[in-house]
Amino acid sequence: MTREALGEFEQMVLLAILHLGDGVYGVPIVDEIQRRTGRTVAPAAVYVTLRRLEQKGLLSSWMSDSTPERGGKARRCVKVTRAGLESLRESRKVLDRMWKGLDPNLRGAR
Amino acid sequence: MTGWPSPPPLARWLLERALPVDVREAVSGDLDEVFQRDCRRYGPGWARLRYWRKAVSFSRHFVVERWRDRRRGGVMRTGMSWLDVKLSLRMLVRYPGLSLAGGLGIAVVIACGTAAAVFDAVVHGTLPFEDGDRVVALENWDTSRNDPEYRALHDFVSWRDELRTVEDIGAYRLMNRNVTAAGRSAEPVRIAEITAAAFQVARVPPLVGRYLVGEDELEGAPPVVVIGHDEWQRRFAGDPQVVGRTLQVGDTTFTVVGVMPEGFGFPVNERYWIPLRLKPSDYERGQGPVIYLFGRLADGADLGAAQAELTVIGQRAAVDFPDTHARLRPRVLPYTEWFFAEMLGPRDAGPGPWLEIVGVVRDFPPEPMESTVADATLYHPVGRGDAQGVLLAVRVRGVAATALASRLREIATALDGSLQLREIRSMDALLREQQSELRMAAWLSGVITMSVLLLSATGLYALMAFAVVQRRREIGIRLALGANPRRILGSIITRALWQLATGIVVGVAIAAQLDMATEGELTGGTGRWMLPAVAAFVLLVGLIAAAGPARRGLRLQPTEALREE
Repeated sequence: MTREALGEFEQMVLLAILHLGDGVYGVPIVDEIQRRTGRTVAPAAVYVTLRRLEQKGLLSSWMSDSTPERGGKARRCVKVTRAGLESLRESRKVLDRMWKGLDPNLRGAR
Repeated sequence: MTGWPSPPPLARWLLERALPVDVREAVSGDLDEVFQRDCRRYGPGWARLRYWRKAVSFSRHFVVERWRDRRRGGVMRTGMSWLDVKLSLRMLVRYPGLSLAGGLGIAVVIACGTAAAVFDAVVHGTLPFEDGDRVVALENWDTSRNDPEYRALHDFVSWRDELRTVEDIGAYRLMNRNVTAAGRSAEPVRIAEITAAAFQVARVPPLVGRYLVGEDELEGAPPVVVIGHDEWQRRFAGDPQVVGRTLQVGDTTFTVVGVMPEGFGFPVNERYWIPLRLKPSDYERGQGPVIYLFGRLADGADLGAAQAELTVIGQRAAVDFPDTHARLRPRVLPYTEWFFAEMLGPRDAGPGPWLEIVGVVRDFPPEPMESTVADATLYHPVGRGDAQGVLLAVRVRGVAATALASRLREIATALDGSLQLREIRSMDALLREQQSELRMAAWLSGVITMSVLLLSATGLYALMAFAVVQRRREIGIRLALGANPRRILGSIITRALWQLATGIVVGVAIAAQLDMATEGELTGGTGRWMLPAVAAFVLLVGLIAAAGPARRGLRLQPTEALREE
């Protein structure tokens, strides 16, 4: 079965979850991506991506307890599934193959 | 939720409608959590603004995602078929009035939404530099006045030395000066007196020469100026050897050391930059000139981290200097947000000095288009440095007013190099300009009013027409039983009239009450004819909306009407 290639942003979201560990939820994921990339990301884009990754089976989620600060609403905690890990490995391999033979600083390339 | 501030209810309602059911609770809860965090960091006002922004962004993203889902899965996946699509198209054609009303209503809403989006993009946009969204403004918020305190020379030095999450912290102030180049007459321009850090923040290299450096800010350093691309072209004809040439700014001669590229305009839209030379030791803490501070978030730092660090420094200052800093809360904001808040929010100058009454005069209009019946006004002498701009009226004899412009500027410069005259025009021209501004304001107000009226009319039309369309089956049965078509039409119109009359009576009563409560402000004193006119318009729209579908319904064969839906 051919797996759909992961987009750059999807990879960033999956890697952020791996950095933070299982059971993490949306708010720290957004913060982690911004902190590591130094870029401002639209939080909505992260949540849309989380939902899409779950629909693809690359993430699994469960609801945690609610808190008063959140208006009594539960958190949706996520973790990367085995298929998610496999997709990340595959994406990395594809990129590595494309980079193989090129100077890392692209010196000599126009 | 007692004890926790709440996000704006309308924004939350919008968000929860747009979110898919499976993520609604989690996303809404996360945004509530972020809202509480923003309240602590920026205060409830900013937090609500940020929540609105997020609500709109989330709604847009999830609506687009839903559309993509449908496109990926095709119409069949949603349970719809092409038959449904064709049927809906057929219904649109069958009820053209209803379709047009709905379409028009949606068009007006989209137009308003687009205008709001453009406004949002302007207000929340980023500076056109590399990582422009990481440029921030720093300010002290005075909790007693509920206003920013910009006399922050000592804080500038301490923040520049201590902050690690914000780097390249700089300051500027803006001034208007006469600028004179060799062989040209004096011309008033706005100049940014700015620290060299501005150019490091912008990360834009100069086109010619260099930009300002730290040494230029030292006392006794030669006066230097960096100019913008347009001024380089205009005043020096794009001379590549411009570095070293001189400009008279006020009564000081400055040497040009560099030219910035086309389009560069930090901190606002300036074309002349001279070094900011201010010594904190010359001023008491909390005193000194008004300056504006900016910086760039350090790598790996975000607004939250910067605010946390700044808060710690602010708390320390409040303990060390309670007289001046106990009421100040330093804060860091995205530069563009700060800029628009500064531009939109008038600053409260606080109570002025006591004045002694020396005479009473008739009120007279300060400008040509002002009313001759002016509001109660105090006339007092303008002290030196009190006013940013004044209107000076000069009566000339024998020559055209505009011919004296350069002579007047020369006289002003000779009196004081910092004085500048600009926009020298005849009173006729000023009057025409003010009339044109009034016409533009009236036109804009008319467009907005018409949009609201059109939106209301289309909504009313759609509602009335739909109510009648729903009765087509009943019409068919009554026709089949031999009822007189004129009586059927009469009953439909009568029912519509009752509905319209109820709405008009209630609406006009509320509007009249509001108009009275605001002493005629609501209708601008035109309530006597405006309210009946609006009532007549609503009645007309409602009757047309009811009569059209009813007449078409009567033309149908009874069997056809009974077969529908």
